[in-house]
Amino acid sequence: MKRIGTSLTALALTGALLAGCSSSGSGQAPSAPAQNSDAKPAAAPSGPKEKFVFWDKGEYVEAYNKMMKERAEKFGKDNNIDVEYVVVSQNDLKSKLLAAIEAKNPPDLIVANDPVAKQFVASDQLVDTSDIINKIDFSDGAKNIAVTSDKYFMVPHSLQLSGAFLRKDVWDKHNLPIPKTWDELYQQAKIVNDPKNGFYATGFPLGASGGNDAEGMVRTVIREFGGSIVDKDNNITVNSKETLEALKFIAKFWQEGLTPPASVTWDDNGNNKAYLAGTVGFVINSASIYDSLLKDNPELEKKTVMVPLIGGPKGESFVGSGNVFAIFKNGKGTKWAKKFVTEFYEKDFYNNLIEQIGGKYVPAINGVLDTPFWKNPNNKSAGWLSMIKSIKGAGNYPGPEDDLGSKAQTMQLATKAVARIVVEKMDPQKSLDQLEQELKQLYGKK
Amino acid sequence: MRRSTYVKIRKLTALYVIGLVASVWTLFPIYWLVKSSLTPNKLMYTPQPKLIPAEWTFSHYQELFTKSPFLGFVKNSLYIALLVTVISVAISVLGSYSLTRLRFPGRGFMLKSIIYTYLLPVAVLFIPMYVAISRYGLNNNKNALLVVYPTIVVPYCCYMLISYFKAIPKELEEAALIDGCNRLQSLAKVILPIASPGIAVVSTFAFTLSWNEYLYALVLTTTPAQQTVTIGIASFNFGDQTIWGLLTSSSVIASIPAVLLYFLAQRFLKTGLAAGGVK
Amino acid sequence: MKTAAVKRRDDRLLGYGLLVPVAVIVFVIIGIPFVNAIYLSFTDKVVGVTPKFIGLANYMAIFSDKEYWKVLKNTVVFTVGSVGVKLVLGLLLAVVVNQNFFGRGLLRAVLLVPWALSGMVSAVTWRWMYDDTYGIINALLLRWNIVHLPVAWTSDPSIALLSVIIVNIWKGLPFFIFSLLGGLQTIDGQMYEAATIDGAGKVRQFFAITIPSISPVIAITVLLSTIWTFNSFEIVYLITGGGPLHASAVISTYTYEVAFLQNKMGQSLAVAGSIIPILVALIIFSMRKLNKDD
Repeated sequence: MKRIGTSLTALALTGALLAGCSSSGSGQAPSAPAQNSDAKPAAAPSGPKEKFVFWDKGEYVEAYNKMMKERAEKFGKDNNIDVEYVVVSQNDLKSKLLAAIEAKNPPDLIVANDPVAKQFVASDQLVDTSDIINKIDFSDGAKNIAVTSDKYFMVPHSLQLSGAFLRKDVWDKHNLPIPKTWDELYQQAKIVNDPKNGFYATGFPLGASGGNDAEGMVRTVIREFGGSIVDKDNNITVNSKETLEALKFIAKFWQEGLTPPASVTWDDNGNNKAYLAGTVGFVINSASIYDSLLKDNPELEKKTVMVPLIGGPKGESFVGSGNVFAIFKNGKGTKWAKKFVTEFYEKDFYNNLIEQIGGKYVPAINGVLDTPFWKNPNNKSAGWLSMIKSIKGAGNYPGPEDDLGSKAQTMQLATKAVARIVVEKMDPQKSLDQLEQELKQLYGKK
Repeated sequence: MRRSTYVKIRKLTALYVIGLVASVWTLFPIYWLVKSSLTPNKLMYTPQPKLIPAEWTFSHYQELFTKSPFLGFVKNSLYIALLVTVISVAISVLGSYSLTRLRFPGRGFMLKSIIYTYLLPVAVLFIPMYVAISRYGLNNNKNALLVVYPTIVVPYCCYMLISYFKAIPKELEEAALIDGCNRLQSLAKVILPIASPGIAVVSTFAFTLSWNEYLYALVLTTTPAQQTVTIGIASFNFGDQTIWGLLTSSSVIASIPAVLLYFLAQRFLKTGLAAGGVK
Repeated sequence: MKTAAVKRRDDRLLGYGLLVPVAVIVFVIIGIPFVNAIYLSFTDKVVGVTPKFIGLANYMAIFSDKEYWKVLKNTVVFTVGSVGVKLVLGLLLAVVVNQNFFGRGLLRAVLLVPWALSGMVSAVTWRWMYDDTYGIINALLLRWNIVHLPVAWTSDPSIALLSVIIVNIWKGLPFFIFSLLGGLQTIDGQMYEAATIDGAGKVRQFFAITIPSISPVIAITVLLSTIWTFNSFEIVYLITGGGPLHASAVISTYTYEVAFLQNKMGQSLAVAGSIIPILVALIIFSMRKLNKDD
């Protein structure tokens, strides 16, 4: 026993000495990079091939990444270059990108949600894409999501509409029509709400972590009540009677228990989960809920209708959001990225891709919505298409899309104003005053 | 005699009651995780959920091993975590011995410096670290993790080992030195055998620290061939959607090696005091 | 025969020699990014842009922000609460699994499992269990009539911090149990035998032998856990996002907010840097305790 112990220790000690050397070696010695290039001799014979690095969005519907990978690989073969196609989860894209940018080692091309990509415009990381925008027949709604400060540094990949999911069976049980306005929804919510049995009329998120669901909804209501955060010249116009009414109105859903209490800290996943659990009757979300329903819960899918977003006293004011391509200046294969994006909208491929995703993505180009796929009455996501023509701008509408605008959105300042009323029971006007202060500080105004 | 039996029963009862309560507390979330990994998708979310689902399925595990590159992630993680553990524990045994038993100028400074490395969280260090690593051309290479992970593992190992070494009476080692052993021999023959249960614990935790690390793995590796289990698990999360069946089943699988390792470590190094100098 | 002086010199050389690998890790691999990060906290760093030195401006900005102080207070409550409970329960359970009884091996395995799970998985699982409409905890409490309305674990500002503390305890308890167990196992059994002969009871033995023998282990376990808990991120971020309205936010989630939502890398590093003096004081304090018996 003792001998085994001793030899084990001896082994450990030898290991320690060796390990000590190797770890200090790779830490500082210049031999480390050489070792690394030894490990990848792939393109040795015909001289080093050019390389195209593409970080794509990870998509719940597997077909998307499969098709994209095939296309990227084919692109590599056709152009005789190496292609590194990588799927990066959207939740982690930002951390990974920031590290890569700081090391001047970014990918050539990414697909990201438009607010994520927009942030890299301000730090001057992205390539001007006006030439691609001019070459392709993009819809106006799609162009809206790719513009920042009147310039194009992104290319719209596809739109992702946010609409309403409604439990038709519950509404039918109470003989209620589908709501067209926020006030109708509020009146109906009081009828269908049944918290004693664990059912809430609505599932609205108000959490601070991640995503746009909460801020998107609050801003929609503010606009539809006639208010605005900033005007088109970036004057802060938030402190108005209209915005005040909007904030008070949204807060009622929590004050009167029409939405689950936990929603105050929900992230974007919270309303999806609650809807799929069948504990809420009305949510606003992208069509991601639809493809989860199709895949996992056909019974609930049958009870669901997808209806366009509802309007307020001042009508409907929808904004677009979606996926964009962004090309990084410091990438080594920038020209390949441009070529890939320009060829991406080839009709057969593009339509097929959109259809494979099952309606969660809406085409960014004109004239492709008359396919059987979108005309199919069973395709519930087609119920949202009518929203496209009402799209007024992107997330910061009527303000310009710029760095400060997207910061105000990612900081969820409007959401927090509602949360103060709901959680801290702050007076609505006081909360609005604070929101105005925060915006002024952010925009550097007195 | 009667009284001592009574005391024994009372003690055993107390042990079992505490053990039971602790097990329920520990296992309940685990149960929920395992249950979810065996629940068909359509029953994954339900209002007023029940403890026992109406239907069970192994399909998530089947899908995990046949359709996803999960096994490759496991292989990478094993490679990284085992190597990092061996390297770090070995380095730390030597360092800790030096810091507890030898006297030299700068010892106190070194002792503090080791733990000061923990003062900034990985959440703010990962960008500067990535910049440094990519300067050596090690980005998207799992071997970069072999360089980086010791920075989170070694300070832990050193400090725990120092505390275990300190608990060993100096007299034992002095006896060995008088018998003609040199320092390293006394480390190998006296200190290590006595501290072996401690080393077993340290190794297990060193392993889990590298096995569960996420942020460095996320930024330092990019292609699946280089990536680790934590990245594999996180990849079942898509924006506002999650494939719960795969996320939970992969987590269950991923927690097995650490528990297994603990048992192996205990078995191999059980000798403890018995093997030490005290006969 | 070597002279005492030669022996001392040999010891000194050996002392340095054995520390070389550790020194490389501490001063090179982590040291360089660490110093770089501290420097950047005095700049207006934004990722991808060359930083400009701005002195203490970042620190001034955060110290004058009342959210910062709220978050710092939360962090202290979070850390002291978690570590305190973990220490007491950890000591109790370490003593329990150090006894001889049937099923001990199984109990040890069970108690280790939370540590074996990744932080992300633990957090999303708890978040799911905490929910008030589809979570199992509320479902059971309601079913057993313990409560009549679901408990808003993650959204009631007076409970949210407690809820994340509970998860931190759950996740971190194994570290205490097994570190302390490692210490208990190095105690020489003869000491107890001697004490028993001297007529000392179990309780006295615990305080006279057990605690002093493992006090270095306790000190270090507490120290490491305090630093980790102070800087822990995933549990809070993934369960409450620091909400509602920073009611459960801690320094690390706040750092993340400043760095990645407000895009101010320099200021975020200042937030992280600002707590270093607190931790250093703690380290010096525990070192003194640790070195007392030298």
